[in-house]
Parts: sequence; structure tokens; C-alpha cells
Amino acid sequence: MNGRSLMQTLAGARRVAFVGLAKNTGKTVAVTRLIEELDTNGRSLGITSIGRDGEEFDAIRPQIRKPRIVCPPGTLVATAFPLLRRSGAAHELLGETDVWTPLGRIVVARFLRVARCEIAGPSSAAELRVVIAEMLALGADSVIVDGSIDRRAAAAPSIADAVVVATGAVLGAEVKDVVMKTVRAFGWASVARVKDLRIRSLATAAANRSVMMFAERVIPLPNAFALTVKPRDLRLLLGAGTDPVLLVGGVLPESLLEALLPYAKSDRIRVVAGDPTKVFVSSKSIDWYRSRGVAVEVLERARLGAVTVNPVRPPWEHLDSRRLCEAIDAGLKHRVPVMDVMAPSYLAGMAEAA
Amino acid sequence: MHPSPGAEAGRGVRPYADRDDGIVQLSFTLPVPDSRAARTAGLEIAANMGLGQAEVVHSQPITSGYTYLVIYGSFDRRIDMESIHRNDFDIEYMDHDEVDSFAASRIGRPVVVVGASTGSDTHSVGIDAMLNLKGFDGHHGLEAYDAFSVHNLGSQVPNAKVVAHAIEVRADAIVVSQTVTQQNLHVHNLTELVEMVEGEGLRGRTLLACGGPRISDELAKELGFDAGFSKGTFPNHLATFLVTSIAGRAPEPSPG
Repeated sequence: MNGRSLMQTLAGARRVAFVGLAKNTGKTVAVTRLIEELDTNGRSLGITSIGRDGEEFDAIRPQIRKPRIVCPPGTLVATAFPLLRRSGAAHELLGETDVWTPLGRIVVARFLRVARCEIAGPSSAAELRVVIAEMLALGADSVIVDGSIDRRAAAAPSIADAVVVATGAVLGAEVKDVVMKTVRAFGWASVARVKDLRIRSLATAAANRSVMMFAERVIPLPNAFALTVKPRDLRLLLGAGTDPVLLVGGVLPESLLEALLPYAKSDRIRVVAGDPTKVFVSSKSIDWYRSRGVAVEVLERARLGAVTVNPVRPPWEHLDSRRLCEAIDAGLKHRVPVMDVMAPSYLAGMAEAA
Repeated sequence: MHPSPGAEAGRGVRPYADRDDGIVQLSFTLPVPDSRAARTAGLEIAANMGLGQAEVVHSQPITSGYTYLVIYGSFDRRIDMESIHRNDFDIEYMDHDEVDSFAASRIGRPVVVVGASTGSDTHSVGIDAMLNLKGFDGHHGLEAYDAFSVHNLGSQVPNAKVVAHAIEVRADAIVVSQTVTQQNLHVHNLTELVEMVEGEGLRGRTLLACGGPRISDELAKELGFDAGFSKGTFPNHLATFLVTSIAGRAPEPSPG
């Protein structure tokens, strides 16, 4: 722990997205902590979610009562209108958006008093971006996105200036298990950014379509190529040139990397995705594929702001907070601040600063 | 309706065997031989679950080294019925004919549905019950409706394949089922589908629904789906959700 609060760690980020690596990793607690810190410091904030959150009970273990998100007076909120109306929270309606969900239309409102409200924002990243921009335009200093479990879409660099990842003891019985799973789950967040200007300009021209780039030529690829590719097609394709770079327009599934492995023996193959939220690799690590000749890169990296750690594993076990934080910090090679926002030392630090 | 003796306003409810006694019955297997130690371990489990006055009413070896136990115990707290909020998915269901005529007048083209049992799940019973012509329990599946054009991909389908197929047929909705899963694997598998749909830029125009015995509407929404369906769901429930959601959506912007 570096002695800085979550708010100080994230200073400068106007759009902050929270992602939990599993249920009960304390994401909602971390969101609540940041709201309190921003409010204490007189900052105006907006809040929305992707998917839905803020329920009173945990959806898998109903005996766990979840902290509802408490919004201070003046908070802007973007949520499905029926939920806002049903919450009974005093609010001023600022505008309707063109974003619809099955729960209803997303509206932007300002809470007039302290409010506890379920928040259900847009379902898609593109809509989320619009809604965030709207709240910033309406005067929010910063906007918090409460992501659903394991939902990375909110962490896309086009959406979030800072991503807070919540992890915790729920991932494993011992410190080393939690560290291992946390580090593995971070694979998507640590993919290297491609620097080669030829690749970058080709990606701009390809505009989300997949293409194969060789030293000699560029071959456009069919729709959903990366999702459906057959080993036989790859053999033909890879025979068409040297120094292959596969630019993937949409999702990059692990099955594509597996299919490329046999062809990477003689020649290194580079695979480039738009950003880390498009890369779906879970059984092996990105490093593992790179060491075997299949190198994954992205056009834009995710902006990691902080990792929060919940040492409690429901219903009653817990790991040592400090040891767990230090081990995760080391496992992530000190690349991002790691903190337990419920630890007595953290809270004492905040009290001192106030 | 019988009067509910344990549930008068303000008191809350608890399990009822006789006179508001809170008695519940547990049955489970322990991986140890049938013995006094096994029965004591069973009582410890009941105590840890918060049950009072637990007693083993039955134990038997089921195979070498395993014991099956039945335990009674009492649950002493009460659940406040007032505090239980209702699902948002609280809509009035249309029947088969109503869905078809609603879709004909409000949508005017078949709703394209891609369905599968995804990931490692080999069970196709859930998705088949919803989609197949035959349906189940006298309720035809979505294939029998004029309102839908159905693509059932079967079981053990990787998420990538579901998404690829949805792109190919320009699906309005993706419906997946997770019947038998372990260790909350279904949670990861379901989220991965949402993320892939998002990664392909389809989320804004694709409805996502999931179903299975361990899936609730609450959980589905938390995972980023539009709706979740659990036990007791019939095809017309799913059908109603699909056609009302699509008809209620804002008009799609015309391309270009």
C-alpha cells in the first residue's frame, strides 16, 4: 500500500470503470469508497453501470447482503427510468437519452437527496460512451461506471480513462492461489501495444474489418474470420507471403491462437486486436503463446488505474489483507497500485488526510 | 386458498412442518464410510448451516466409502416477505397465437433467434424445450411459431461459434442454456458470450437471454444479459419477452 487513497490514485481520470474478476471481490465496496472520497472532497460525480448492479441481495448467494450504492445529493445518474421511479429517490429529471434497454429508456437525472437506487445503465459499450459524455457535459467532474462481473467492455480504452479491477480471496483458498488467478485474469490487461506505423495505418484503413498483412501484400478477410477459421484455410492463407500480421477486426478468440500454433514454428506470427477487451485467452497466457511464436498485440492498451483486494471469502473465511495485497502487487510486477479499501490502515490513512 | 398460519403481516415466514416449527430436511452424501463419525460430521454441517436441534433420521452406506444422510433441523429466523422485491421480469405472458399476431402487426418480419447450449455443457434439454417444434409439456417451442426463424446449434457449442452464427444470420436474439455446470463455470461462460457479442459490436442490436436451473433473471442481468429464465419457464414466456422487447426498442437507424 502506497498510502494514497483510491481517489488520489485515480486523480486525473474523468471516466473510471470498475470491473470485478468474480462475484464477491468487493467491487461495489470499492465503488462506494470512491464515491465517498470524491464527495468528501467536494467533487461532483456521475454514475452509471453496464448491465445491472446495486441489488440488495447477491444473485448467487442470497444470504449475502450487498452494500447498496449510496449516492450523495447532487449525484448525476444514468439509469433505466422505471428503476429510478420505483426507487422513490427524490430526483430532478435532466434528460432522456436515445438508449433503450429491456428495462426501459435510459434517462439522466440528478439526485436531490441521498439516494439508494438500483442502477441499470446501457447494455453496450458504444451506448455507455454516449451516456458518460452526457453526464460530463451536464457538469460531472468524474463519472463512475459500475461494471458487471467480469465484464471487460467497460474497461475499453475508448470508454475508461482508468480501470479499477476488484479481486479477492473468493478466487482461492490460499494467498498463492489468489495471486495466480489474479495474474492470469490480468492477461487481457497487459497485452502490448503495437508500435509499427505500417500496421497502425493499415488498421485505420481496415476500419474494424479483418485483414492479413504480409511483407508483400495485404489480403482482406471475410466477416467473422477470426471466429470461424479452419486450420486448412490458415495453411493456404499463411502460404501467401512472409512476415505475417493478422489484424483482427472484432473478437480474437483463443481458438484462433491455437490454430495458428502449428504454423508459427518457422515464422513468427503477429496477431493484432483493437484493444484488450477483444482478446479472449484463458486456458494459456499471452506470454505462453508469444514464447511459441504467436505474438498478440493491441492497437490501444487498457488504462489500469488500481487493483482493489477483498481479503474476505464468503461466508466466513478471510486471508491476511496485507500479505495478500503485497503478494498481488509483486505478482503484477508493481505495475499498478494495489489496495484493500476496507483495511484499518487504509481507513486510518484517510482519516489522517481529512 | 388455505390461510397461511405462519405468514401474518410483520412476522415473516419460516419453514413449516407443523405449527410454525421451522423444520427443514437435508439430504446429502459424505465421502466417508457409514459410521458414527459420518453422522457426527453431518450434524456439524447442519450446525454450520445455522440449523438448530439437528438430528440424523436416516443414514445408509450407498457404495463403499460413502454415506447418505437425512437430517432434520430447525431454522429459527424468519424471512420478511415484505422485503422481497419482485422481479422486473414481471410481464403478462402472451400465448402462442397472441405472440404470433403481436409479432405480425408490430414487427412484421420473423424474429431471428440463434440458440445453443454453450461451453462444456452437454445437455441440450433446456434449449430444446424452448426452441424445438415439439417443445415440452404440451407447449410448442419457438420453431412452431410464425413469429420466429430459429437456428438451434445444439449442445457444447463454443461461444465464438454462437457469435459467428449470429453474425451470419443477422440474429435479433441469442438464447443460451446452461443446464448442468460446476463451480460457477456457467457464470464465466455466460459473461464470455456477452463480452464477445460486445467485442463484435453487436450488443446494441442483439437481445441476449439465458436459461437454466441455476440462473435467475437477477443473475442474468448482473452478467449483462437482457433476461434470465429459470425453472417453470415455458416457450411462450421466452417468446413474449423476445417479441415485446424487439417491438419496444427504438427504431433502428437506417444504414448509411
